[in-house]
Amino acid sequence: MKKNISFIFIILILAASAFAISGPGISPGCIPMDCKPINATIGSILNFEVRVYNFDSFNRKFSVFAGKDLINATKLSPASFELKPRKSGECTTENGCEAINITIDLKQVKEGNYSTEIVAQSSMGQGGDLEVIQQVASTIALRVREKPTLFNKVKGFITAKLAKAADALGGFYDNNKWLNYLAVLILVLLAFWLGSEFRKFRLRTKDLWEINTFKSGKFFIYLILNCTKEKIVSCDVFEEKENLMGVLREQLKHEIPNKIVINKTKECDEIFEKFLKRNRVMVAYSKTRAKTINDLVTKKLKDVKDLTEAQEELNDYIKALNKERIKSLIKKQREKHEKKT
Amino acid sequence: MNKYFIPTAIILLSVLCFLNFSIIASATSNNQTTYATVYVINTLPYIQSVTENPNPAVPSDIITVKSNVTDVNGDLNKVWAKYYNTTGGLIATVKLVYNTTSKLYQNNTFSIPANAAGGTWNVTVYANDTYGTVSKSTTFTVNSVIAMTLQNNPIDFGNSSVGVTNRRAENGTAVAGSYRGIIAGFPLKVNNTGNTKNNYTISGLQLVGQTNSAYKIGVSNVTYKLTSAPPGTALTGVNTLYSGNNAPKSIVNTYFWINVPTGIPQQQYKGNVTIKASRS
Repeated sequence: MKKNISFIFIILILAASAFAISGPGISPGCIPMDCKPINATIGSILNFEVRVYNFDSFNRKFSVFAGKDLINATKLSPASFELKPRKSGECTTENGCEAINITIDLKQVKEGNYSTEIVAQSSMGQGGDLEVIQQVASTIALRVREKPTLFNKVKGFITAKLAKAADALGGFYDNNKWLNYLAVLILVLLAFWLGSEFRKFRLRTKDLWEINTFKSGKFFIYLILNCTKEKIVSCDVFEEKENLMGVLREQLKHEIPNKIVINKTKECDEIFEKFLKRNRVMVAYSKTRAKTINDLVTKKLKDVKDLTEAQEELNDYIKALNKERIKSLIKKQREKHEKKT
Repeated sequence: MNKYFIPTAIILLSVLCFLNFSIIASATSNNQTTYATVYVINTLPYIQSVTENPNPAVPSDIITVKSNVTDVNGDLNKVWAKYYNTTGGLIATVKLVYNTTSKLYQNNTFSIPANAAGGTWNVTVYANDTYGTVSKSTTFTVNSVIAMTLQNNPIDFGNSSVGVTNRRAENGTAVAGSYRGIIAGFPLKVNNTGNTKNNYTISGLQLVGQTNSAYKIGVSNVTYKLTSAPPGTALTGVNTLYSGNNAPKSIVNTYFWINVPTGIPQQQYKGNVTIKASRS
């Protein structure tokens, strides 16, 4: 029984020792830890540190040198030493660890990508025909570029600042989740704004349709209010002698006889009032200000006070009659219509 | 009796009574007792600091964790620490003991596992009293380590005649006059004892006569292979990758042979083979 226990114990010790770290070691395996190349500029001097360990249970002699690229540009200190078996703690020779200071001088180095190795070498000693030398290597990858120009420096600075600001904003967002609600609010407002813009667009289309409809003579009267930033440019109530106008005039006569040719404020008011009552007013909207008189009419008819206000507003419009402009507008629309048809 | 006696007596008595009452009232007032109830509230322990050493550490290092823990109620129950690896996996839980010299709670029994992955580790200290548990964390770096051990080295081909090809290295079989019965290079075991994947490269130098160094055996006469059947690949003086992406704890067996050239005198020849491990 005792023998069995001893055997199991020995097996466990052997198993444990098999998993233990041993032999010569170098750390870290690559610089930086993620092994991605370090950006460096020509003329700069880089300093690194790697640590060489003796994980064996006996003293070992080591020599350290640079391998692969940048051998001549790399200086190491110390280059040779003896290490006792590794003991946990600070990196000292007594603890089986040596910190190697590495200096890479990039003054004479050309632009390019380099991979230099820091190699720690140790030998088990000569005993047979072929001595076996053990080497463990730590890799330093460099991306060497020309010194940046002033422009690139400024660009880099701005980019870095922007990146920093983005990081800061990101951090701020992470800590202030209520910003989600703000974003939703902004989106809702944006949706409303887009909706109103769409309405304007729709009204403009309607405007065009109404003008064309007017030209086709389906409606017996038409009132054009062309509004600009200055609110009123013109109000035209059919004084044209054209056929279409003539038809309209004839139709209008049934409603308001002898008041077709309007160039006085009072008469215009009367006609408009009649139209309001009939609620058969077609309005062309200016492209800069889509204001429907129909809306105004529907609303204003509801009470007298409002109607009065509407009439006052209309009076203001009429004061600024610009027949020439309306004429040209109608002409233009007609031309367009004819071209289409 | 004076006719003023009775009124005077009444007045005096009244004054005396008033004074007496005032004095009693005053005395009562000055000796009022206020009862205040003081509730002693228990509070959580406070972890002021957590330190870890060494940082950076490497696998097999013993970690010392120290923590300054106080508890105003003095009912601190226990202090312990948990170690988490780079992926957040719990690796160990250790108890922290109060050190009277440093006046800190500390532990130095945790050793980084030999195959621990390099990266950022976390140690969290917990303190518990009758009221509850608090914790505080700190991080430390476990560096990647390139390490290896060699077994069955050096490499020895025993005694050989000139002109022999693919003569294997010693494999532990004793043959009188030829092999001594040790394992020396057949195979050479290369063990990745670090905590990161390795690549192995191999190179060598010619074998030089030990009695007459003018005679040499070229390095390409030595061949190697990962399996035990010849022919192997000729060794060169340049580092050549021969085994890549070897996981920690993995062992690569490398077999060696020699082609003994003709025209060389009888003597011992010695050279060397270099095995280099670097991160893959």
